[in-house]
Amino acid sequence: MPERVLVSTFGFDEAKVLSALRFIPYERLAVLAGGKSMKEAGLRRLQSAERAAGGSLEVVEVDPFDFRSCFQGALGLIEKHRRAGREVRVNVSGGTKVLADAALLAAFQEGVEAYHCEDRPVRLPVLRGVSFTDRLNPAERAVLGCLDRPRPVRKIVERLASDGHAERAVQAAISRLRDQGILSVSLLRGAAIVAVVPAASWFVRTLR
Amino acid sequence: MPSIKSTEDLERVVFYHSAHDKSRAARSRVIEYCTTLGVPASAHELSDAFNLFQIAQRIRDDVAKARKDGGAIRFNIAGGTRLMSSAALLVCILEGVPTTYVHDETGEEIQLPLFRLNYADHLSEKQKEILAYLVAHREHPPNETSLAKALGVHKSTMNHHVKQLAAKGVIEIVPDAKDTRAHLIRAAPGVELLVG
Repeated sequence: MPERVLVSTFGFDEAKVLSALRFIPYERLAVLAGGKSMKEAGLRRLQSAERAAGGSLEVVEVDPFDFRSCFQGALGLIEKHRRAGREVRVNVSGGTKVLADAALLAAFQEGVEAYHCEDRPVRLPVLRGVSFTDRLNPAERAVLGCLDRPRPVRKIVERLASDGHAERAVQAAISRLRDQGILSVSLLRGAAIVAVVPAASWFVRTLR
Repeated sequence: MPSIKSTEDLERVVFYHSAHDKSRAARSRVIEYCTTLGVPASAHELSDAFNLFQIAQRIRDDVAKARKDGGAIRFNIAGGTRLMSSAALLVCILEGVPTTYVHDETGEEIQLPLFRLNYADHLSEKQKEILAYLVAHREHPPNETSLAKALGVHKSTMNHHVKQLAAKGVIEIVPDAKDTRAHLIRAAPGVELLVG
């Protein structure tokens, strides 16, 4: 059975994490916390509790008011432990709203179990093992993969043709991703230029 | 407010708030602002702002109704209690609703480019049908044989679906208290939000 890692969002009060620990089995505990939280007594008490139980606490610092920072922190932790063959669960009960929401989105994106814990944990309806990227077909993934900067449709088609993607499939992929609000298509000197929508670029990097 | 200001051709504002006095005062300010703009606004007080699934179900029903009416929806999940915000995000993920966040300090609106797809479409039609049945029979969960019979599929086919759904964490297989050799199948908590 793989080692279980509980990733938890954390604010100042360790009570929310502790109540999750009582109900969600784990071997390793990792928390996402803001810089201020890391200097507070709550985190020290949590570290002591873990030490007393023979474990250790992994702490990842994020900006708890910046969605992107929290999302990337959560995603990084999940990916790291999954790469190491561990089973990851996410508890989104502690910390700021931004931190909790970003961790929730990361759990859905990666298809890992997510819990919200007030008195008892409530498991959220994440489909285990199912990632957002599962909805992308190979051509859509390939298009996103080559959009590190805006490129003409013609160049994308040429580039992906060498990887075996038919022009029609690439055109359809661009069109679908545009409809999803992920890509924009604009005309520049008669050429159709495809770009990742700026507001989506931080998110799209995690989808490639 | 930042979302109201930044939305072009805004036709209607719907927002949710808790029963807290501060929240009610904020409601009045939003309504007043919308009235000044001439935009119809409706506020919904959530009686139990600390029950995640209840809030999510309420929001989901409203989103479904608004979609039926044909409008394009955008959800700003920045306000309210932490639980309200998480419940709203949950609905937006499940329903593929364009979602925005407002940075607490800079006031910048951040788009969360969720795929505009129904999350439940990660499941096959048969799997959705099974889950819908289990949700409808939550009080009296069936065993695998009776589930197969009820949905008109062969036992071995049902066994395949049950294994797939259990792996995805959306069903629970629990011992039957009346028959120690048998197991009952029930929908995991919150699955109503997937197939309801």
